[in-house]
Amino acid sequence: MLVDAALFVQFVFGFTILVRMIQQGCVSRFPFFHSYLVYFLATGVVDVCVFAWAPQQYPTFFWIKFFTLVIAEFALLLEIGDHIFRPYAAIRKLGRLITAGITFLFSIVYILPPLIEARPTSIAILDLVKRSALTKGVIIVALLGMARFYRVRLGRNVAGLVLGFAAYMAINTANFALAESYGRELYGPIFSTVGPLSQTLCVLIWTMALWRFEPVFQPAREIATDRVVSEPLPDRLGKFNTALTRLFRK
Amino acid sequence: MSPAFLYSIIGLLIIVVVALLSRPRHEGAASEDKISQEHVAGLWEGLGLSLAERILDPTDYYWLRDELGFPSLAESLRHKRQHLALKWLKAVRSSFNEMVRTPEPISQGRTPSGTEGSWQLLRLTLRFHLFLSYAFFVVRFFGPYHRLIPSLRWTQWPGSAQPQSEPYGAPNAKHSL
Repeated sequence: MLVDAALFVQFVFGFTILVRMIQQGCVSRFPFFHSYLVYFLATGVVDVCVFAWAPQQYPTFFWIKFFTLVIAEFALLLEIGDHIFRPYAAIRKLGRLITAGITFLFSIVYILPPLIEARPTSIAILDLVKRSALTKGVIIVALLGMARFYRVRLGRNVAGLVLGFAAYMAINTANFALAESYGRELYGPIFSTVGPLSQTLCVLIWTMALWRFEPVFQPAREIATDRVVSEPLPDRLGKFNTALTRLFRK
Repeated sequence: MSPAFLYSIIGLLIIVVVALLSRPRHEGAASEDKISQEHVAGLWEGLGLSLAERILDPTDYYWLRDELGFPSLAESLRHKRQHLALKWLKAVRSSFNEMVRTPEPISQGRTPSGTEGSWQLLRLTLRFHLFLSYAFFVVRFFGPYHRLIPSLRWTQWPGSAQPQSEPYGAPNAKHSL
């Protein structure tokens, strides 16, 4: 009953986000996020239909949908990284570098090695999802840490997007770790409740954050003319590098 | 400690850290920015660089220690210079970050940098931070006069095509004291 209510609420809120963003004409600003949300909602509907009319196919369908979303979430992180650093030309690609770098590094040393160990498939799947959720959590913390280092403004939309996603990932990490440790008999009922609840919490935070589109900068209004310099940025960066190098070479 | 408990703690920590990091910065931080901007203004002008050269120049240290024979005074000078050098490096970092977080004025008809250009800018930015971190490390642990900073003569930075024959300001041991 609680799970059904959670699924219903997340569908309503997810649909509300889509409608609000379409109304405000800002779907193109978050293209991958909207694709992710549409896929999430559409597969949720198909999920219910498969469960009702072809229950023997349900586990296969569920895991295909789940793993597609797990992979798509890495791409969603790329978009979040782009949004954080996009207004700043010198670090525009920093979000991509952090996301791709941590994904690659963690895949090599943390996510993939346990897959070659001989153990039951269910345990391997739980472990894989747990590790990928933790990796996404680390990416989010790294992105926010770097944003804080450069004192860049996140804006309400991106901050909410990150917070909702982080909450979902953090709960997923703990939920899958507990399921792996305590097994289906002991933890199964809690596991199947916490999963949908975490998704609902995530969608709820997204709804609040994306209710009104608020761009971080209104360039024409907010960029003071005294900060606009005629010298191209590559030249200024080069001068900083040259001056520092010359100084310490002496 | 069981792995499940450990992962639960990590999950909780992620939520707390993300909530803290995604909070909007308060007004005090904005005024700190302004103060920092005032302090770092002119840091890369001739006078600022001349000051930095003087801080990192060991001439007067050797003069005190070897020619006048005051090793303890020379050590004290070295210690003070180390603090000054670290402060100068922090100011350099603030100045650089201030430049980095200047939003690109897209509205004024200037096209945003292309993908390749963006990666090049990021490379320069990271290169600067790497070198600055190395300088912090050397100055903090080996002092301001240590020569561990490698020569990077082979690098060609954009905007540095003109030959720079004159130093920013020749340090003068007599004037320093």
